[in-house]
Amino acid sequence: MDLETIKDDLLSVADSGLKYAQNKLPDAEIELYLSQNNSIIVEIQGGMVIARDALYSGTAVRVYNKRKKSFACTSGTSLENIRSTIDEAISISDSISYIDERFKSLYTPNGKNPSIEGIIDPNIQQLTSKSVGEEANKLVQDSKIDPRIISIYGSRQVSYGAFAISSSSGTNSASRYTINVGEVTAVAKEGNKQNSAFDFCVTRNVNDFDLSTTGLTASKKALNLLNSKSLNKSDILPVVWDSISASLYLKTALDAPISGKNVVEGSSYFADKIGDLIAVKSLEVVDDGQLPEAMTTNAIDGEGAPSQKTTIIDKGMLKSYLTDSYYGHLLDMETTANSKRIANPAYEGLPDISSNTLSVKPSSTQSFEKIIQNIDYGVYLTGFLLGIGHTNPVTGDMSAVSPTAFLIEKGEIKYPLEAINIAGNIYKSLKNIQTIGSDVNLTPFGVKTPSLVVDGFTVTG
Amino acid sequence: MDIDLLQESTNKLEGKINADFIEMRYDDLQLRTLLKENNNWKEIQSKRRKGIAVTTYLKGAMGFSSTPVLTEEAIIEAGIRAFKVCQISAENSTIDLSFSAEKPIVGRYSLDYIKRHPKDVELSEKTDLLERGMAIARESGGKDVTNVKGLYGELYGDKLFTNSEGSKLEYDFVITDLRFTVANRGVDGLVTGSDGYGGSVGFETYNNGYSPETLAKNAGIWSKEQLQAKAAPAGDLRCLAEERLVGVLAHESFGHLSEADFIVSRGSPLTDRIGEQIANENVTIFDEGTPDIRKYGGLYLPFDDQGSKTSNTVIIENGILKGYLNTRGTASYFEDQRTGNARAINFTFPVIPRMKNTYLKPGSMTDDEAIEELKEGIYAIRTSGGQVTESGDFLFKAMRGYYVKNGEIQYPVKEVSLSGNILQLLKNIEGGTKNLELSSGYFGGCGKGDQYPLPVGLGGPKILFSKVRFGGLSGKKNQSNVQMNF
Repeated sequence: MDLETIKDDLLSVADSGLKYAQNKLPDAEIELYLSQNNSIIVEIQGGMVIARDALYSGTAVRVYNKRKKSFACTSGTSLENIRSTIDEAISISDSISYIDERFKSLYTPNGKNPSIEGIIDPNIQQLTSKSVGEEANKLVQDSKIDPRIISIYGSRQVSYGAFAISSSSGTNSASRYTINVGEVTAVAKEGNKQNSAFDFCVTRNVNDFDLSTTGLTASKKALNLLNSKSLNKSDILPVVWDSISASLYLKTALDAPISGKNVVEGSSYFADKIGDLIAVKSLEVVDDGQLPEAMTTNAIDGEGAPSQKTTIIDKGMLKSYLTDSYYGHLLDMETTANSKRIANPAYEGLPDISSNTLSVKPSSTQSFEKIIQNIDYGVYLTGFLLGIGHTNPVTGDMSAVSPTAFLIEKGEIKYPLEAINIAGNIYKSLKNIQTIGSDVNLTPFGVKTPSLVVDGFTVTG
Repeated sequence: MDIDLLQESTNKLEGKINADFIEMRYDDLQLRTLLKENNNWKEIQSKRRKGIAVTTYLKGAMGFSSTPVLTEEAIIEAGIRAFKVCQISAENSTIDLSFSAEKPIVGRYSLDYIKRHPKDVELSEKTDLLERGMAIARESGGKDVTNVKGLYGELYGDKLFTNSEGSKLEYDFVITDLRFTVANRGVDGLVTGSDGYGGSVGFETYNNGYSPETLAKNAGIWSKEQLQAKAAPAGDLRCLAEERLVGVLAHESFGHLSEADFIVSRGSPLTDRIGEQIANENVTIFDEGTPDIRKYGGLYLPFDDQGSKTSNTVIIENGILKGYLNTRGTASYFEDQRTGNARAINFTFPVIPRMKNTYLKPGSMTDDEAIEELKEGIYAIRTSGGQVTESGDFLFKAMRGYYVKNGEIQYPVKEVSLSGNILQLLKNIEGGTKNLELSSGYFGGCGKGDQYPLPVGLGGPKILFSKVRFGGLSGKKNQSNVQMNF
């Protein structure tokens, strides 16, 4: 696979497939999604190496035959595979009687200018499995700084590829990506205490990729957590979220209620609230589908609409939902190009609605140091939270555990805490954001955010 | 793709690379999902996973590649790629998982006990199956029903395997699954009830006790029951766990800790403990490949994805840890048996140790005796899964259950969480009922790393525990990435 030609290659095959399908069902609406991906992945756990290097590909077909919907997919993008998948999709649509009255049409291009793909670095194709393996090994070796580090997981991945969408409504576009990933998780143990911590580097190019301190940082964090003490209280306390935990916070607080699908299906907390104040006035959030360095940036969304930036929250007011063309019709709005194929592999699922990069406008004055100094008693969360994914998307009730939190006392970060529980209503908490920091950071979780201070959650430890 | 072409490709590849060992597997798997929600067909999806996985070995390390293109040229190219990355693996690995060649295994295996293979059943008959249950589910759920879902899933196809020993295997893989869920609006919010059945069973299974009418009716009744259910008391209580919950406990909490890669990396609390008494004498846990499906249900897995014949592996016998769940490499490393636990979710993934059908050995009580013996506590039933940490701390939710006092059922309880440490829990087993039930299916499955969902089987008898912690979050550290969604 060659990054220079991959888009044309995929579009050409897709075009043949589309013609075959239209020949069989001239009046149907038909969409083909093809993807190809080249990945080298080397993982090292406890001295064992799992190394893979392969070319992955797949095809997905959606058929709307007189509004009867069907979906079929297959591994591989050969014309033979495409044809048999089209046949399967057609035979499904013949068998079912359900008509989707709400379906208007597949996404129809309207002459919008093409959007940017995001950073594409062809040099990524020159990375060899040898260098990938050596870097994975170095990550692990760099982590071995202390005999209390009992277990290390290191992983290095290089991926590049493209997807193409061709449809009977005129879509005929493609988008590429190049991704470079390195991550380490280190487990530290002393006596009865055992903690783990991670660090990573994720870029779209080769030059900005730097693993020189990753292994060391993961181990240092893990070792530091061995000093954890119990919080020993349950109280409403200010919570400082670092950019990683804030990424989870923001996605959990926004993704579900701003999805056009959830608004239409009746499960959105922010339904009928466009124009209302849903957050503190200083909060400004944009869904940025065009941020060049973000992993989530593509030229087109999952149904071929050109990616764009959409203002979600401005001065604390809800400005827009995120939608695809199907729910856009039902909401009487244009698609915001937020259709995404979130299955893994992407071709195995129907498009759903998802944000690209939720980008929070940072303050110009609230540095991280200043934020901490202004807190008399509170907690500082870093890393992941367990259970935040089980937040009730309808009500917003959240109860999550942070195993990597720190105590803030009299303006200083004092010591790490044993696992604490953070609970409360995450949607209501948007109005309790006390401070937005200036230390903005793009995380690989689809969020670009500074540290945030939220007061109102019950913290228990 | 036929087995001879696969074998020829293996032989050709051997001539081109200097590997110690080569494995090639081919899957041509068809997956279908049918979902009806209220009056709408929400989803009818069809997926095909067809391709070849090549694994090469050198000095005890492995390198992997795959291709969806079935020409000899593409297969060889994948093999060369796999070997190139294998050499890198060998340079960076510090654990030697090499294994020696053994006698080749040659054979062709099909599921003869299946009367109606899903590939021979028309789509319309499958949609009918769901239709039959939908109205019944709504009716038996009562007047407050807000949502009814019916799901049918199937996964079937051919699996071929060859290796440089000359093994030539062909076998069928079949899973079908039927389930219904009913949601009811109660005073405190939505409550749900569901019932379903699945495993390596033919379409003929979905009648009598597993007919859509029966499953749908149960889903409705149990959903309605949840409206009257009270919160289970929190704290340490006696517990009778139903068969599927027992299965998930066995799998999620214990099975994963026995997977040999966790042992090799020394992350499992069962490391170095073979021969130790880690549970009561009445605890025996199996991980079996080919249980009697007609009698017990479950997943039929005659071979793993390294061509090892699956054994009925005894993990714990009378409380003593006997062995791990191995791939060929770990079996060699531990001088242990080849157990047939090397599995990959599809052809694009390399094998890692995974489970087969994991279950506790039945005891001697009848169901009535078990409730009597419970005396006072919770009879916990079914689960939608849970999570376990590397140290064996678990958290599950039982979907429904009953509060028992004086050996009699008193009232239904709401969904309740069970938590604790599995090694401790195994010490609390007092006994089990007589009958073994295994469950498996298409929806959900086992997750490990990025290989989710893998179909597995699990079960046991009903088990009586002297003590289980109910309610509350366990709030533990070091959450591992294993998750069950069953």
